[in-house]
Amino acid sequence: MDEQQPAHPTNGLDELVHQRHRLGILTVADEADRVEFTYLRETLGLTGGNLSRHLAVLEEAGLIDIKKGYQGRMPKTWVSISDRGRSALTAELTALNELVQRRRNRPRRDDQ
Amino acid sequence: MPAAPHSGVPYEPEALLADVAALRRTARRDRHAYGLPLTMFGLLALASAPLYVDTLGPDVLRAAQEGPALASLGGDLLRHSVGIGWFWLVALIGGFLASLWWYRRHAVRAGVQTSTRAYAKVGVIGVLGGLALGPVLNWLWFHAWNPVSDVAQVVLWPVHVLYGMGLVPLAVVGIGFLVLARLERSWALAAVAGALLVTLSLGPLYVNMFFIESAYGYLPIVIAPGLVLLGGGIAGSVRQNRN
Repeated sequence: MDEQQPAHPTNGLDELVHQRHRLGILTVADEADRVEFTYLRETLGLTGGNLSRHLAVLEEAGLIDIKKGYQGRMPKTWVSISDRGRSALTAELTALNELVQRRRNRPRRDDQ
Repeated sequence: MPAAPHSGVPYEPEALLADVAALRRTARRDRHAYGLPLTMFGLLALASAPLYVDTLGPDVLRAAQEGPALASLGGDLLRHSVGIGWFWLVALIGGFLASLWWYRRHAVRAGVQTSTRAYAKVGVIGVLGGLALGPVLNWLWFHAWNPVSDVAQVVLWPVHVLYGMGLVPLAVVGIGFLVLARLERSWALAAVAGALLVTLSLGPLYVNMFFIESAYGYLPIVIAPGLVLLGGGIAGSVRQNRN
């Protein structure tokens, strides 16, 4: 790549975060202090197994913290975003916004 | 992610960003729970109104009263300042604790939790600061080095007026709601908290506006903020139940 050329915004996209369900989990977790498993499942329209797999990936990457406990007799799993997760989400959204901006600024074929 | 109408092409950056914005709005709406605390503090303000009835009425010169230190939230100007102080000491502590309990309960039911640590800090600092305010103002007014005292009397005059009329507890409530509005990222709550603080700060101007030179002359200064809180609380509760 030409050294004078700025990096293409896609370089800022992280495969781990870019996956739309994982991006959704991080977005909801970033909006709240903590969020419960059932809420995430219903809001994102995922199955329990599918959500668990995405949570495991994010937890392993250190982007979220998971705490399991009980509310009365009901088991509850609470998810909160870590500082690293917040930075990753910010970087992803910045890259997406830059991509959108770049597409808007791109001259259309009929203008050429 | 929810199937938003604009998310026809799932991996387009525009569609992803639109979905992210929709999710943020949903989570924000679901964690809002300010209706009940606003209503509760509104009712407490209205319940305190009888203590602001003063047979002498406003505009009568009187000496500042001295009461127990723990009752100093009530100021030193009104006939029932000590009663106002005790009322608000219990109401502020109970109200902040009840609000914190309510937010925890809402989080468990809704599945999404707002951080309330900063709101709890405002409660603690507000009660302690409110209790310390009287002695501090008194020292600045009468015992500090003259130039300091002169400046304090000019700069802190509005605070002294609010303190004297027993309105500091409502100012603490208003600041608490401003902090809560930031935590909830709610413009509606910020507007109610702002309206409360404006209503409070204008209080001295509308003393005697409705009950001219009567025992009820001080009532508007506590009824108006109470109605602002109650109105905001009812509107907020309706909005949150509708969602």
